[in-house]
Amino acid sequence: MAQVEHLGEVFVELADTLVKDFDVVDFLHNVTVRSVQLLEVDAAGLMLADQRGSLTIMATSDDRAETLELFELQHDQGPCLDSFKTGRAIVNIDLKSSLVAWPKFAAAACDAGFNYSHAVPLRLRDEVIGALNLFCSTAIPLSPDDIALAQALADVATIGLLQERSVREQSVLAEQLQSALNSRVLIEQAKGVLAGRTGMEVSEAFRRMRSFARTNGLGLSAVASGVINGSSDMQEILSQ
Amino acid sequence: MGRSEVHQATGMLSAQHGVSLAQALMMLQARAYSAERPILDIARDVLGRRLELGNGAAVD
Repeated sequence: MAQVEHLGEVFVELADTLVKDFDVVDFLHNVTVRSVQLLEVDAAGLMLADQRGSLTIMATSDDRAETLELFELQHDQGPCLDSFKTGRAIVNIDLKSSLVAWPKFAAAACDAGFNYSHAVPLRLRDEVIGALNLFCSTAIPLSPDDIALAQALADVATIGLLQERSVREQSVLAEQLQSALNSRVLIEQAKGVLAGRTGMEVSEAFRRMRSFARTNGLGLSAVASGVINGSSDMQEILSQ
Repeated sequence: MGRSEVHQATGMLSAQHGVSLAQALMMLQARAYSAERPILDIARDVLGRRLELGNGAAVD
């Protein structure tokens, strides 16, 4: 059951970040973190289709390798891919019963300690641009209200993706999605640079970059660029 | 090449060896090729600090 009392503030917070110092990767990361809190699930990830139509991870609520693997496996199989292809919500999937349908994915999900998975599509008009994927270690199914909320969070993510410029033409949409995916690559590389320079874990490097971006009113992508080209104040980031 | 860990390992190698991101990615690819292992495995070993790749821009 969703935590209704926090619903309003979360949507206000998400709407707020759409206006101020908007950074698409940071915003989508927030959507995954809030999805975990509001829907009381254990992990959330947003997958986007690239220009060739294959699904790529855009943001995840947690950085554990076992969890990342679950999103990455869905390049080929899994609820995200099915939701993306059909444009429908695919919810309350019992992973133990899905070993035939999605052998690699379901086995990896069970190994990672999850029992249920859900996927809702990121829809724009008559098109599907990706999916929001949720994982639970408990065997409590999502209620119809929870499913509607998951779809609302996916819709907010879509709005965020399209917010930087208004999208009128197909080519612009493709460019916009590609640019979002490119920012994500840049941020991953910057996490690695920070971790490589200091010996800290990649997830800790990410936390410090985000905190530095917040404190200084900068976009996460701008901070990542600065880390990569050496123009960011490294000491300042590391002191976060 | 959509894998997060490959991008992270690319950044890590570039910092450790003072090479460009493009060169760092080549180091990963070269090691995957010569060891006949998937690039994702090599990336994970780099991130877990279980694997040191050759220094400088040299790709062997």
